Amino acid sequence: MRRPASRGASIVETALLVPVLVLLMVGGMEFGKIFLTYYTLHKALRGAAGMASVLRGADFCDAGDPQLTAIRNFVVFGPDGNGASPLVRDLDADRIVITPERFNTEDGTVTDCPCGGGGGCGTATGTRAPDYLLVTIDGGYPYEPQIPFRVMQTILLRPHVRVPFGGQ
Amino acid sequence: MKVRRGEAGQSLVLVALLAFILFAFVGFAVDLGRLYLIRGELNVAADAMALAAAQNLIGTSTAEGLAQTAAARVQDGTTGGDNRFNFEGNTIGGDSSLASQVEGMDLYATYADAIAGDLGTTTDGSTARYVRVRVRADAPLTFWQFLPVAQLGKTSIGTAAVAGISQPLCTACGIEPLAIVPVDFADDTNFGFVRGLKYTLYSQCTGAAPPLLAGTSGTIQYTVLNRNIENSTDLDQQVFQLLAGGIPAPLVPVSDTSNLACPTIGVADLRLPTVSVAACNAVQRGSIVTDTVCGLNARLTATPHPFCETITDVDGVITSYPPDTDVDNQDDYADYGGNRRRILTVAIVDNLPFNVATTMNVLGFRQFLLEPNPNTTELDPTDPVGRFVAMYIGFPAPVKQGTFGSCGVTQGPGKVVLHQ
Repeated sequence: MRRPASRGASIVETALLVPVLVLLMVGGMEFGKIFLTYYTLHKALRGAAGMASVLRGADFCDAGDPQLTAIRNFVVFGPDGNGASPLVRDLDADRIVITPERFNTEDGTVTDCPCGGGGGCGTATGTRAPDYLLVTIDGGYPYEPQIPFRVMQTILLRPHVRVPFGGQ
Repeated sequence: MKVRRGEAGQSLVLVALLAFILFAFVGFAVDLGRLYLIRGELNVAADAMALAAAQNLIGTSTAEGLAQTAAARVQDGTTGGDNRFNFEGNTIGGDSSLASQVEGMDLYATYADAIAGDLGTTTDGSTARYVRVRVRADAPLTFWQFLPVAQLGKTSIGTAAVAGISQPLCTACGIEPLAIVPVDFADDTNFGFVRGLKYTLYSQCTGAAPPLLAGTSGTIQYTVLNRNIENSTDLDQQVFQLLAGGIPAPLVPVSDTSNLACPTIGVADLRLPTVSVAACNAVQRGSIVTDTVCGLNARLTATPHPFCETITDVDGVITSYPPDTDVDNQDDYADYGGNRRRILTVAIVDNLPFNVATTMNVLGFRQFLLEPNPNTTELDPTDPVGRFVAMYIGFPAPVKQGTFGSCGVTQGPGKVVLHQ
């Protein structure tokens, strides 16, 4: 039969080890949560890019374009639209940025499409549909790992997706 | 005393073992999650490249090169917007301890071959309808590397995307707003036109055929489709822009639920009323026919014809729609090496009413290759009946956009879709 002193030692041991185990488990879970958040955001951007790349008559130079607003709301809030709970915590539909891009024949680079005539994007005379769309989260999505006993640095998740534009 | 010491040690050992096992399992799960995540990112890159490449499958011998260039362009990293992997940390093909590359791009003629993976029979640019892009990259294994099987600390992940030209469309968008009548209504493949044959296209309100342009073997009457622009403040410019670049988005409001946005097979469409000029043979600046040829001319040269200079902001529109990279006279479509600007997708309609603004029913869509006029690199906008040369090519190139439906056509142009 065990003596009281032995039980006490066991309790102390356990008390020392439990925080370590909890830290390990929570740390592992946080890792997973960061991955999940990143994957979710990336997939949402991919969805937005897919929908935006087949739009007809959308003005990519207008931040308030109704078609683009609808897409942003859809990927963040789902079919219920604005007001439903967002895809990830505190994500605002406005934070999803759909940037038109243009291939420059002179230097062979892909850069942001200027808004306006003479080869730019938008709706003015002499504009043309963008060549590519770049979908990003404005400023990145800040993720704060929740680990007990420690204040962790915020991790900025910056997924982005580029697709060729196939609409008009 | 002996027993007590042993018990205490046992507990510590047990917990330490448990912690180690727990740590190992958590580590495996994290690594596995990361592999899936990286595969997803590689997939996005492969999809984008395949879609860009498939838009260039236009049935010419240079299509493979065009497709490869287009796929590479998507991954241009000037602004850092190229699709990356490993939490956007690594560029594909970039210099890093994690090797990555676009493994290859294969062209296929049939869907079965395209989705058969490495077993499918590949083809060349002139017959390709599908493209498969393979991307491979190393994914880091932070925790698995403690195991003997993964001591390199990374593993290679491959992914592939297949894009291709779809089944025939019932509604085609972004096509040229021109309508022509079949030579043979019973021929549902070519409507009586002959592939590889050059035609003189003209627009004349009397319907009488003008003399043939050199090198052509037939005439085709065309008219300009009404794209809801007749109330525009500057009709000349709008028609010019329509013909220079297809139907640009701003001209077709989304709220427009009529047929004006995109022609649909089996649905009536309207001719632009102003095409019917009163004096058929009078050369008059401002006629829609002149604007039409001026617009088409912008596909061959960046310098506006003197006759077209009065169009408002003609240089600005031409900047937006630069001329084709291949403006040579082609006798064989397979030799055409341009960037698709010369391919005209027109609507085939059942009649061309010139005297009254009546409707015509759309029967299908077919494609022509715009040719420069004989002995020049340009078209002639001064021609009173708007003649230009075009070679009938069938329907090899995908159109910009469109929808399927129950129109029942079995042949015609498709659009680019992602298959896998």
